[in-house]
Amino acid sequence: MLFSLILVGVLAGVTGALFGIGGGMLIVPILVIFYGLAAKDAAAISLVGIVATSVGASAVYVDKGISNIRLGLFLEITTVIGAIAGVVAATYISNAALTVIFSLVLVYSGAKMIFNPELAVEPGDCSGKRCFTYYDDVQKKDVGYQIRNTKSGAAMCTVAGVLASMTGIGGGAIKVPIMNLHMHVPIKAAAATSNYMIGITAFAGAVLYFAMGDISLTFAGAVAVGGFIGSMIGTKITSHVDGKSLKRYFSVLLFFIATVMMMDAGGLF
Amino acid sequence: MESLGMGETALWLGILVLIVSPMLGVAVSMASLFRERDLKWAGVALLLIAMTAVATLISYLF
Repeated sequence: MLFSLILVGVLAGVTGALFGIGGGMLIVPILVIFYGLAAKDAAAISLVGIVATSVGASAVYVDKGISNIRLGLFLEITTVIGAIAGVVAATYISNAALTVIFSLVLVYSGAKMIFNPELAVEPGDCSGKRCFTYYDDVQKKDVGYQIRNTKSGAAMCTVAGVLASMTGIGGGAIKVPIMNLHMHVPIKAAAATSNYMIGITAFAGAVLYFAMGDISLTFAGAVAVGGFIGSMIGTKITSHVDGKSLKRYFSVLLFFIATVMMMDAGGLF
Repeated sequence: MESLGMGETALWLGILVLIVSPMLGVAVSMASLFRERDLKWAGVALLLIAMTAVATLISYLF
């Protein structure tokens, strides 16, 4: 069982590092469907796995200067507010309702990946005080970008925080589109910044579950080890994979998982 | 944490260290920003740490 849990973590870590998410979208349904855990217990374990994924991936992306730490810190202020509210709300919501909410988040994320193309930020957009740069390994040059709509972006991240804690995901699948499409951050920087942020978001939820004794130590430890290993692998392969095709396949997987989760919530399993 | 064996205690501590590591990272970022004299963003980091601590404490108590 331990080995299979570590593998779950590795899978989540790889996808997390590739897409700027924490992998909770894989961890939670796998724990619920294959290990028979309640949604709330799976969410608690998933948050620990997400912290591990974030620690692994952000160590690489922050070191390379791709993560925008300043933006991440700013957006996390409202995200953490949402995350705390999400943990409190989760204690009053039934397991079935949490499963349905989680499935809807998966459907939304999958649809976003397919129907909302990335915003290609043109080089040279950069001027003024909200201008940042990072070095792109693939293009072999500095890429500049100007952040827009900071206040509304921060407000939207509150919603990401609520959903993240309530369902045991890191919120990256919501934050990356917010940063890219709404705030005009290039997709690589958005994903890398999200990897930095989701650890903080997950902390807010995980520390509460931990303090309440609601985390299975064995499950969490195994998933965390796998998540860290997977994130290291993910950061290595991220510049070698075709992002567009991968997103399409991942979206199909998310739809499938959402369907299975809905059926599970409806008692069809 | 009652009656935990050594292995479980180590696991408990390890998970606790893992969980708090993102906030330790924020603290390091804050120190680094202070050293760079980027007081605005250092203040943002400090605000985030303070809000997280207070909100977590309130949620735990209630």
